[in-house]
Parts: sequence; structure tokens; C-alpha cells
Amino acid sequence: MTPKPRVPLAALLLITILVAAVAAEDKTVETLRREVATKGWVVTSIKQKRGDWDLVLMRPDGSKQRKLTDTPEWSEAAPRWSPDSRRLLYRRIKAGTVISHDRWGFQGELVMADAMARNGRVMGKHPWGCWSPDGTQISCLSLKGIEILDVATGKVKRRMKRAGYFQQLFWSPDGKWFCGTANVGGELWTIVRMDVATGKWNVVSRFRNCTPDWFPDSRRVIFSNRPANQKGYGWTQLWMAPGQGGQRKMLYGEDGRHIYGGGLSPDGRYVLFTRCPKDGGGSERSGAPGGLMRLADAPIIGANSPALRKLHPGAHDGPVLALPDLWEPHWTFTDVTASR
Amino acid sequence: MSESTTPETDPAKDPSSTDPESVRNGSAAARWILLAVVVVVAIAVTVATGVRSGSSNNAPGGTVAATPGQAGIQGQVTTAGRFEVTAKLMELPGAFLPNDGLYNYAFVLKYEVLEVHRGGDDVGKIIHVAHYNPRKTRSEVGDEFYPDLGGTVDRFRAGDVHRLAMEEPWDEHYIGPLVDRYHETTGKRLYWGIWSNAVGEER
Repeated sequence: MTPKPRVPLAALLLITILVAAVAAEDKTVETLRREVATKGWVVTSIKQKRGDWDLVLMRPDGSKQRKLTDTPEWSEAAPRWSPDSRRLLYRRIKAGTVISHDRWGFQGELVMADAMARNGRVMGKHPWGCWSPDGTQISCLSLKGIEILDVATGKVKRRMKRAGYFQQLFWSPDGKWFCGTANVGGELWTIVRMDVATGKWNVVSRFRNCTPDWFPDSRRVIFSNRPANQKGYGWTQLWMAPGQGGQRKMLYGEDGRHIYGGGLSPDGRYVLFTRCPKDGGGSERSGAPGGLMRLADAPIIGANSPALRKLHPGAHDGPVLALPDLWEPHWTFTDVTASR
Repeated sequence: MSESTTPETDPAKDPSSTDPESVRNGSAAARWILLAVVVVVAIAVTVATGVRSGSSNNAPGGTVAATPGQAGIQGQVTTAGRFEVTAKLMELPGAFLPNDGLYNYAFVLKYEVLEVHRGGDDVGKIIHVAHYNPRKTRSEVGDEFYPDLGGTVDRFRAGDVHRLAMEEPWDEHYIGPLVDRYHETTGKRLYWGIWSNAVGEER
């Protein structure tokens, strides 16, 4: 008489399928990793054990990390390379200050340095300082309105009304537009696009949005949004929309994570973001696990997220390349480590 | 000796004596005392009437427990901003958003002005005031971004009377999210609330 197997056949089959699925996912993630590993560099802020934030350079897959700053008395935050990747703007904030995930542009001072964060020059407060397309000017957002500074002289060249903008003002790569978070008609946290030449503006996305940024084509905007169609507080997701407004599209969502820090690779094919278990993007604590995905794979839904999957039945499961805990990453294809 | 309890009293200095001269002196003193009492009472009545009439003139919707004028003067309420009023919070237009320290915002509230202390004729009878992080007590509302805010108001309740120090236009003093449930009210003047002291509550 043949003894009955101790593990039923169905269970074995299930385990085999699960192992195969995990292996397949690993393979797709590995493919993504190899695809981006040598595509330039990412600069980001990483919280140090001693409590401050330093700028860290890494490959887009998270490898070859090296500190660009090492200053226990200061936190360096929100770095952005100039359009030619020869210089770097970031904020210098006194160590011990809790960095606000949505008001960091008002904190500390703006610093301009070379691409490797050397020879930094403190420029002053200049809230939300952001490069112009040719790197000769910087836009700022403050109570006074939108100011455009001449980098060479440090003088204000132009001042515009801020039209409801209150945070996160970013200049489009083609120089024609601003995007930012604004008060519009009693609604909070609305993403607005403004024509730099005329000051005319339009709504990109209404209701509970923040941290917008431009696609390289200057036609689309990436932003975080916490939609109303969720139970309770809900989860913040990564979305995109045309600059002129209209059909929005979710890029990445995951029940149990708040998705912030959305940014594109220079060619617009890859998306960087952070997955924070608590709302706020991680700057108030120790950063949040970074992620990288292909734009072509969007929308992707992470983890089980059953409610979200019902809303987006066609969403993919991945691949998403996990990056270290970080905050506000920025990507260049230029080899900034080379002597230039 | 039951006739007198003060047998040692000199009959000549006894006020109850029937001596005509002492009767005349006693009557004069009594008149002076009575006059003084009348004057004091008259002054008290005048002052009380004046204050009462001032209150009712300034509070058409009802009287308030504390009165405008000197009430609510604490902290920087008399010096902060260009405008200072005593005003009644007319209503709460819906619930305040959560304020867990992560998100900060200002919330627009509607007031009926009872008395203008500073700012003159520029201040209308109905005003709208943007209060920063309204879930927080005013004594704890100041932060890294808006350190000059303060006051004694612990929480905002419809009908309460506040002494407010304010600025205008609001967006030259505050840059941040604004919850404005009166956004469809055209032509309203919106002030930035700097200092908010409790004066009393509507009876």
C-alpha cells in the first residue's frame, strides 16, 4: 500500500507557483536594475545616524553611494542639478530642525555649489529657489510674489504676483511655465500651471495635491495626490496630468504607503519616488524607502492594495526597484563625477 | 442703674442731650453725610448706566458677558498689525481640518464687528479673518514660520467675542493653504489674524 503524501499535492503546486512568481518578479526587477544602473547619477538627501541630513550621490539603482556633504551641524536638503549639470542648488538647514515635507523651500538658505556640492556659496533665503532652463536665473516664491533672480548679480530681475501659489514652485525645462501648489477657489492644495510670460494660470489637478514637478517635455506634470475615494484618511499616490489640465493618470499607488518625491529621469522614461508608511514623505523622520519604475509600466500598484486594484483593474504589479531610505532625489544622465 | 448704660458720659457732650445748640450741630453733620451719600450713589448710577448703554449699542445681536473698550487687552493685541477690533464670531462654517502637525493651514472665519479700536473707518461691520491652524490654542499657535501669532483664545466657538489684532491684505502676511468656505462671497475683505484674545461669550 502506497503511503499518502504528507503534504497534499495542491499545496506543493501552490508553493511552486509562488516561488516561480517571486523568481519572475526578481528577474523583472533585476532587468530594470541593469537597465538603469549606468544611466547617470542620482543625488538625494539621506538622514545620518547622528541626526542631520547629508547629500549622497548614487547610481540610479542605489549602488556606488558616496557622500557629497558631511556636515554634522547642517542638513543639506532637496538638491537639484542645473540644466547643464555643472552646478547644484540645495538648501542648507540648521541640524536639528525638523524638515517639513511640504514647506522645506521656506526653511534654511539656498546654496549654489558645483555639481559635486563643492565650493558652496550661501545665496540667502530665496525660498523655493529653482533653476531657469539656461541656469542664469533662479525663480523664488515668497510673500512678495514670484521673483526671478539673476544668478550673476543676485538681483531681482522680475517680480510677478503669485496667483495663489503657496509652495513648491518649479520652472519648466522649456522656460515657459511654472507649476506649483496653490489656493484656488477655496480649495486646498491645487496644482496650478502659470504662463511665465503673461502670468495667466490654469488648474492642473484639484483637491489634495502637492509636490508637483515637470516632465522633461514641459507638457506634463507629476505630483502626489490623496484622492477622496478612499476609506478614512486614505493613501497618497503618484499621479501625472497634462499641463493644461484634463485627464489625470495614476502612476504608482500602494495602500499602506504615501507616495511622494515624484521625479522623472532626464529622458522621461523612468520615475523616482518614495514610499512612506506615514504621511509626509519622510522628511519629518528619517526619509522613506525610495523606488524606481518605468513610466511605460504605469500604473503600478504595490502590495495587495485590494481597494486600489478595484479602482485600477488594469494596473501592473511592477517592477519596482527598491532604493535606500532617502528624500527628494534628482537625476542627471551627465557623469558629474568626471573632471570637467 | 438701668437708665443708662454709659453712666460715665458727660451730659453736656451727650448727642442725645436736648441742648438746642447740640441739636443744630448734629443736624448739619447728618445733612453733609446724606449729601455725600447721594453724590456717590449718583456717580455710581451714572457710570453704570453709561457702560450698560455702551454695551447694548455695540451688540445688536445680544449683550456680551465682558464689554468692549478695555476688555481683552493682553499680549500684543494693541500693537500687532494695523487693525484691532472686538468682534463676535458669527458661526463655524464646517469642521476644521485635522491639524496633526504635518499639515498647516489657515481657516477663514466670519465676524460681526462690535468695536473698532484701530484701523478706523476701513473696517466694515462684517469681516472675515484667516486664523492659522485653528485647532491649536492661540498661545501655542506660533511656530517657526509664523512666530508672531498668539492670544488667549483656546478654541473657536460661534458666538464668542474676541479682541483681534489683524493685518490686511492677508496674502502679504501669510503664504500657505487657506480653507475659505466663504470663497464665493464676492468683495469681502479678508484679514490675517495675528493676535486673538478671548473677551467673553454671547449670553
